[in-house]
Amino acid sequence: MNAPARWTTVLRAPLQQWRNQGSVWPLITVVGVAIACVLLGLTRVPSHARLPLAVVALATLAACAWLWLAISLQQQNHPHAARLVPGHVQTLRRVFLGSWLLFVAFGAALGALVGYAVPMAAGTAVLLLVLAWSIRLPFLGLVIWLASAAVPRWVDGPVAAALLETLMPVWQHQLEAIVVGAALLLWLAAVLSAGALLRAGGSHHAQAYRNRAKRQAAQRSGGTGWARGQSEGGTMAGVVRYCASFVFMRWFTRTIERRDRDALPRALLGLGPALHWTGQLGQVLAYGPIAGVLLLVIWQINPATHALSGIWLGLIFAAMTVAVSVALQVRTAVYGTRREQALLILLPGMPRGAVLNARLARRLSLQFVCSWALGVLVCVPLLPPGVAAAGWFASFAAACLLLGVRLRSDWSRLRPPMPMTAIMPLLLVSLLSVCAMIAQAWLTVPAWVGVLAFVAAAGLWAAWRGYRLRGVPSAFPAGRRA
Amino acid sequence: MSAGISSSSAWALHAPLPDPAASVSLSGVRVAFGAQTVLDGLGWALLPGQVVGLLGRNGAGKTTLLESLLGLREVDAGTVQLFGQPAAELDDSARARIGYVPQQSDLFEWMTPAQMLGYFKSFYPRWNDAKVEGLLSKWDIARDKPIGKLSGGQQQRLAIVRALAHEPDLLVLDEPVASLDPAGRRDFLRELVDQVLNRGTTVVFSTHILSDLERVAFNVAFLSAGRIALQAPLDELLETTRRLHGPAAAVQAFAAAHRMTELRSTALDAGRQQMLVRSAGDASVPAAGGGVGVEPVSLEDLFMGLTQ
Repeated sequence: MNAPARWTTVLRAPLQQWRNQGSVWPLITVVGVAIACVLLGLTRVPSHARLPLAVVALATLAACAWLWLAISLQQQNHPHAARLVPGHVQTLRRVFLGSWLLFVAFGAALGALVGYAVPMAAGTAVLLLVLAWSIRLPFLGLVIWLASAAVPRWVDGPVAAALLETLMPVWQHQLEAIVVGAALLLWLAAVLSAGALLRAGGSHHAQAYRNRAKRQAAQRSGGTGWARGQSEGGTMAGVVRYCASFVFMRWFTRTIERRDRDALPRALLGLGPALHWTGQLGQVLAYGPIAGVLLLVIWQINPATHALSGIWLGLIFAAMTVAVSVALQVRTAVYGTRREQALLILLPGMPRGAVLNARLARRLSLQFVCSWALGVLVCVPLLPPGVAAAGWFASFAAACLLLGVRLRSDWSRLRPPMPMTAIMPLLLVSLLSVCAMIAQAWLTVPAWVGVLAFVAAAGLWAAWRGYRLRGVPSAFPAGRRA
Repeated sequence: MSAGISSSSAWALHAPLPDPAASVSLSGVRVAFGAQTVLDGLGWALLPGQVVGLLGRNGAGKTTLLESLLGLREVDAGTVQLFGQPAAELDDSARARIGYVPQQSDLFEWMTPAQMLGYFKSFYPRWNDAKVEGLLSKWDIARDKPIGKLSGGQQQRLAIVRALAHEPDLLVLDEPVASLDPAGRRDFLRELVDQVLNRGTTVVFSTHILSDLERVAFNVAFLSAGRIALQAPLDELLETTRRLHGPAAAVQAFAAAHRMTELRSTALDAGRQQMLVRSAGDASVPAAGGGVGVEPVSLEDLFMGLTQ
């Protein structure tokens, strides 16, 4: 196979993965809503701000596409193929560098539209490398997020002022030399990154590949990774898993000893903590102190809370994510335990067919609504002052109710979850909430109208799904008719 | 080894009528995945105390058949009955009579064997603790180590312990010895034989390991083209089946003259033919003659011939 054909094969892989393992519709929906969001936004901003907004939107889209490609390249970099398939790792590295250059050129072109071609190119180059590294080092995102808390303090501080005063004359007099130097440095960083991220096989590579695969499995199951008893994830995932297992196992032991007449609650324990309310409670008990420590760190870095809206909103977003986690994890957890379900369905007392479907949907929906309500109660006091933040939260929290509809699915037709299975729906409701906010401003209607619309939509959709569930085959074992 | 274990004589198994006495009865079962038909008008019946090894090529539909048989998979057409009840609507007493070992045994990985067995015990009205303890000790399975950390062979043994613990009347095992070493397979087969001898359990298990089937020497069923192509006691099958070879016309005349049933024929070079044939149960197997060679067959020959 010649070089262009090899490149094409490598570049086609991410799309093939989507096509083979699932549907491309979730991706198309998210992109569609994102475009609608941007178009709505363009109608609301002053005319002079439209071009920058469009540039930012396109740059974000490009960054997502790059992230998708970088994930796929690292997935394709299997240690056996790297060691045994001729030219495999070299092709992956060349595709990485070639794509990086193309995306940087795209960033520069976008920057040229608003008169900042060089800074935009440099920023894009750095951002793309950081994104590629964040796949290998997930804590990088947390570090950058925390560091961003200190940005306002540093920018306003004397050190930044002195640095600016020193560098400005150099920048003005030796601009070309600086640009060339920076470009060379960035190219060197990209080449080194390609070598470090796309490795040439061996036991270290094999270990790293296994760890990354486990981490991705953990992300698919909502960050805790116990859908199939996997012990993956980093330290934080380990702490969360320990807490959830601790609470769950106590309930498990008690319930088995009690031998209630109703077999379903007991049988569902066999699916593990991922879908059980005690597992979710354990997650909350673990995330609470972690969030407290993070807040303390942020407060230490910059006590000026008015500058920290982004950080607070990030924490609120994370808290709501935990609150609705049962809806995000459900597909992976149900699919991951389908072989256990084949045994559970044979147990005496276990309901089947429409009864199982209805009871399962009711249990999961109740758990979802309770944890959602708890999440809202926790988040409201954390909201930064101001109508905008409250409006965003109300819209986001109401949109999250749409996720609950996922709990009323025909599990017999469940397909294998994709790597973004847990994240896509969350991204979608986030974009929908932003769309709703812009639409409210456009239509000049009060915020509660949007909230009510989301609640009504979620209720009606859930009712329709519930009605349809009556006619579908038994939920367990999942995926048998996919 | 098979003494005392009931076995029925061979019978044609295309869509029999449901047998009320059978532990398992399938009739006209059809299962398709999109355009691919896996089971096509399959009929099958397992009588109480019968032990059947299910043979078929990879992808022939053995797992689909076993899952359909247990009501774990809906069939597109036909009926499946377990203990006289529709497989999809079993009552609790019927469920308590079923033991199932699925193909993959890495299940409930987050539990320990003790927790998993305690969990299942809570559902069954009957549970033989002594047997469980005996098998755990005999098969050297750690009670308090997470199942995910047990070896593949230990996980498979544990799955077998779980399936035997409530003393089922019907035991369905999907490739139960795939992860076991020869010693493990011997132990498992011994346990299986004990189970059948002591309790008269009906057992159906799929396997690719023909030597194990030959050792237990019970019934074998060949799954091919979506149907049970043949089921018979293995001893009888090996005794009555022969491979004929010679000129095509002579082979056909030989088979007809001796009232032999053609199972599979293959054209060879230069007008010659090879034919797998079976004598009627009461007829003696003829010797070679008239230019036709007659050879005995092994289980592997039967597998290759009947599962094409």
